[in-house]
Amino acid sequence: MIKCIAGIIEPDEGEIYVDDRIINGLPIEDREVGYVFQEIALFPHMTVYDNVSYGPFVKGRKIIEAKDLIKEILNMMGLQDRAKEYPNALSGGARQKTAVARALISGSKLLLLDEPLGSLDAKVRLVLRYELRRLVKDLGLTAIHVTHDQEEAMSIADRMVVMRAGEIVEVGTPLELYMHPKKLFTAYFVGEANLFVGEIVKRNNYVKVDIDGMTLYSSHKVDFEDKEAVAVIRPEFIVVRRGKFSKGLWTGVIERKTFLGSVVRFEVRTNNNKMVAIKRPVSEASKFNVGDAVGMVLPPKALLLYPYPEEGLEKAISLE
Amino acid sequence: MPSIKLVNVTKSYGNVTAIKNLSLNVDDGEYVCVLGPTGSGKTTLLKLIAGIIKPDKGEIYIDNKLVNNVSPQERNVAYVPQYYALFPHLRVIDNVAFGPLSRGVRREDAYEISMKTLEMMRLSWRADSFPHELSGGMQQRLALARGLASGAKILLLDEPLGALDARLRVELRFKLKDMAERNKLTVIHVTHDQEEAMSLADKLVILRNGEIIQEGSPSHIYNEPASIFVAHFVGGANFFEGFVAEKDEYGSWIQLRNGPLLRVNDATRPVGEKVVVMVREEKTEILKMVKRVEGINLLTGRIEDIRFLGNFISYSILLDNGDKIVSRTPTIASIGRFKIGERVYVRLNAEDLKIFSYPSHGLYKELEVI
Amino acid sequence: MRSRTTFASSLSRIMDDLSSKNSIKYIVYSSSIIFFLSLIFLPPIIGILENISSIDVIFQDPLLLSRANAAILQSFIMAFAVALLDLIAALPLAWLIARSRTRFVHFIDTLVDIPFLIPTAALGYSALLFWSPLTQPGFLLVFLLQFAFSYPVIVRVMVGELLNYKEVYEVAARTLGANPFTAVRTITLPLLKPGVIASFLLALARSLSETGATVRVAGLWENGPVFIFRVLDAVDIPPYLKNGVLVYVSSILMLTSVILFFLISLLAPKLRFPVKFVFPGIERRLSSPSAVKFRDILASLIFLFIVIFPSLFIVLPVMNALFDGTLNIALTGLDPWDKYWRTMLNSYSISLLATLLNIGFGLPAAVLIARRKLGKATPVFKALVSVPIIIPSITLGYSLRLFWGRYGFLHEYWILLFSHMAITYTYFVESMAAAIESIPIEIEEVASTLGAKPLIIFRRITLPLTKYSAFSGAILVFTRALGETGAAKAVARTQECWTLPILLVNWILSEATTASQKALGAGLYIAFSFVSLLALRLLTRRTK
Repeated sequence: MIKCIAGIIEPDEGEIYVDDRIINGLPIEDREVGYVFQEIALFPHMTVYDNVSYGPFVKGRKIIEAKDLIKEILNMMGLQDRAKEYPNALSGGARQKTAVARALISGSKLLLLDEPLGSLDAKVRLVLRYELRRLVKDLGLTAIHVTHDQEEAMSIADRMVVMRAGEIVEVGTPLELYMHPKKLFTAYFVGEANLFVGEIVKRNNYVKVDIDGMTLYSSHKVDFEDKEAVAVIRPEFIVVRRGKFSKGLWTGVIERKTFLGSVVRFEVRTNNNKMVAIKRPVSEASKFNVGDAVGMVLPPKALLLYPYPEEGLEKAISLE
Repeated sequence: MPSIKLVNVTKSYGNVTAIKNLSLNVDDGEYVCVLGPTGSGKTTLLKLIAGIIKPDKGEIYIDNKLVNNVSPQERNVAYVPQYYALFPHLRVIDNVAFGPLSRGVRREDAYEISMKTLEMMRLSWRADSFPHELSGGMQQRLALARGLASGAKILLLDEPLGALDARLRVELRFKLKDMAERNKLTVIHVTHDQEEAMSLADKLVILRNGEIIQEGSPSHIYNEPASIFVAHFVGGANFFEGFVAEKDEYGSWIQLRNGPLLRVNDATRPVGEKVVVMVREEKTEILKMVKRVEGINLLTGRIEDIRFLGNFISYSILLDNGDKIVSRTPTIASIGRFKIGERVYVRLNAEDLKIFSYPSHGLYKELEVI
Repeated sequence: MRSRTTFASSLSRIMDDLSSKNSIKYIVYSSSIIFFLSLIFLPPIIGILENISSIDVIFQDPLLLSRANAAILQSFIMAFAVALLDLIAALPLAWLIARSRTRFVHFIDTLVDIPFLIPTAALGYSALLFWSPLTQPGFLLVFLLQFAFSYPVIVRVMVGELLNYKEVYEVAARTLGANPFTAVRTITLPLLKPGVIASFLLALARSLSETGATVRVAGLWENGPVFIFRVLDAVDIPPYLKNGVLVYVSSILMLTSVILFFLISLLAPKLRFPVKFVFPGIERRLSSPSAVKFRDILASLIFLFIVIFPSLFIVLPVMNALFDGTLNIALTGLDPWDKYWRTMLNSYSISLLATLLNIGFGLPAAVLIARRKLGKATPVFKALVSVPIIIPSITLGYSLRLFWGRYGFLHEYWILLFSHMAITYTYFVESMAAAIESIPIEIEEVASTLGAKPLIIFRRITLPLTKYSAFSGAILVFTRALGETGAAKAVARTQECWTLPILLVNWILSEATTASQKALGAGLYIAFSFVSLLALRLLTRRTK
């Protein structure tokens, strides 16, 4: 999609507008968009300085005139000490910063980021994503950032577009898509989710769903008529209990406990043979161990309902 | 029984030392994750164990047998390199059968074993395809199937999930672990993704510049990091510069920049020593300033940025003394409670604060992983 | 049947087991190095060095000396002119082939190899006939001819480079505001520099070395190979003087070529393309669709009129020869065709043997180079391997004649075989080494951890993955051996052992053979090499 905007590929049909101006057919070099490539694609035969100054250079501006601008951008990205180095001497992070600096120098207000952090170590990715957002905000740019990393997307986006097989599934703020996704795929793809197939039994204030003999309630209204439904709940919204279990409470046995740093992830096999993933803060973790029988509270507010997909559940949520 | 032992192993390429005097024990059936940044020697470590490269110094034992001079084909270790290195000219089934056939297994038997392995990896329906026709996830399973069918009980995985999309990576993590447990494998899995390492490892090994700087269970490493680097690399952490202002038998008071004092349960450092205080992002509590709160380890500041991470919300707070702190709280607990620009209290618990000696080359340099 | 397969499988089992023994590996690799040194590399050097003292005599004949010096100089002038202009002319066509996918481009793509496949001796005759209404033999005609046969080399190399090139760099440049021409000039070309240099050197080597065609169209003009060719045939130069002047010219040509090549391959990568200036206005106009169309059309026209038509022109006189009765006489094998068929048989048997031997001994050498098994000595070995194609083949042939001539018991046939092996060895080893290098080493490493012995890995992984290169390398060796004139001319003393190119050049130069005979001789030669190539291709396809 962003290749269409940049003009690297032309759409078969439809129009693309930038600043209310139609740009179909305009060659790449006249579109004036900043583009950061997944491959980073720094010119290997040029220094950092030459890479960054390439934009003004090819437009025929004297390097001398653009000198201050280049210097300013290098400083802004913290690259001033590396200006004379060649790309292969840089770390992954510095390379990525150079690529951003190179894209920014044209003064374009539209920045297209194609998996800009994809080639970096996880930890570096974490640091740089916030720097990227800050830069965009400080310079008042519009940015389209393409990524397959949903946490990266959520943490820096104003608006998030979930895409699948060339189609937009859903658009919304990260919070909306996380808390109240309109589509099953979004619910599954954005953050972790437990999925249960069941049957809607009653539609009052609370919708009552039967999952293989166990009951769940949702406080959300359902706008579909089908009886067969998929109930979705995020692992971090489920509360775990010990001791006496009241009737109707989901119960099960902890089969696996995984330490994830700030949270602990449990896998609980319920009495009706479902696997439930649960994430709890570490402070609660010591109370529960593998083999323990536990009760689970699945808050109706956190339970989302979707019609059972025509193509089958596995296909509907398939990531490949 | 497949156990692995490395004793004082060193390997250099020219003047670059990739592995420095490294010793490591891996027990039978253990799932070990080696975590380290790019260039820390992770791949070299695997290649040494697989026998693809030979150590300059030190011994490598597999099943308590010295294997320094044993060729890779006789070590019976399955090595899965980062991009899988599937044989592009062979069908899926022939890829899998390559191992048994090479080991002299009869043709019919080799293909029977291979088909069974493919069934286990849910790939038998693609037996006649070529590797490039498979999706990323299927290629990964094929690489594993190929290793398993050779009869190896030791699996060496080099970033096995690295080539996959983020969401798929999370989904396949647990399947990988299940598979290892079911087949009673001993696994060494190298990665730069700390969350992946923590969620999979029985034992976590932190590698930096060719040296092991800490090993232990994920929770041990997370809770008792041996150094600033480990604390920073494994999980999110905040660091403050300060010095020991006072101490008593239960702990000490650390004075931060521009004044504020923090109480820590560590009395080992002499008064006056320059130190770094560490606290995990989620071990911080933000309080609204609606009423006056008093107590120790209470800092004040202003929320500069709020980042939504899904199950967490991360608040970036500029403290009044000029330090920055990042606080992470479960989304349900704090959603909508704070605004950017709001002044807040940040409360820390003495038992969650760790102190480290101030690094000789400065804190900033120590934290630089980029 | 059953017992045979078990025998074969147990034999291969034994071989596989042997292959993991270090001593066996050592024997295989060292024998391939010994083969290279004793049959390919050292003989020409020793041959020349042993006779270096005979140079003295040339100073007694200043006229001959100045003629020799002029010829040497002309060799390099011509080679540089051809390589440079070829590079400029061939780049746009390579671009067109690599980047667009129209039917016309596909057609051009298939045509490109033709001048490469036609033996140069025949190509020279064809070009002579084509150009004769316009120009006489001499510098210009030699230039046009050499331009035509070096052209495909550059196109092939550059198309390969362009297909491997990551276009994202060019796209990145364009998103930064560079118009297509500027992007190519400042980004793509500098990044393709290694390929440009490699193809330039190949064209240079081909021009320096070519004898069979050049000698026919040279007229009064002379370069090194033509000079040697003429001196070999000269009746008015006494043998002692002949020997001296030939050693003189050969040694200088060999030495200069080697020095030149290593200098260029060492210094050229340091050469910076001019990327210091841009001319947005001009370059923008050069990037416009009409300018691009003009460039494509011009490149195609040059290709068709200077490369393809002269190469294929021979078809007309051949058609004529088919119907005027010459063909019947040729098929009955009456004089002079009896000699023609005999030399053809000779050529084919030599080429086939040279190919097989080079494959057998070249494969381990290719592995040594590709997998850097000689450690720090690998680049040295690689450089040594490249030497035989750098030096003009006629000088190589002449020095081999000096070397093997000492061993009187060796039949001339063997000396011919050795010289054909020497001039083609590099082609196979280099193309094979490049192919093996392109297989990620991890694939072989994984195979070894799965329990595969070295020979199993080679048989089941390396070879299948490089099969195409192995066959095309073998085909290259075969065609080069079949088409070689210079080295064969220098080695063959008696008519008994002539190869086809020598005979053909003789016919073409001679007044005694009729135009129809010349044309049919060349035509049959071309037809047979096409058929044998086609057969090889089909054979390789079946084994796939």
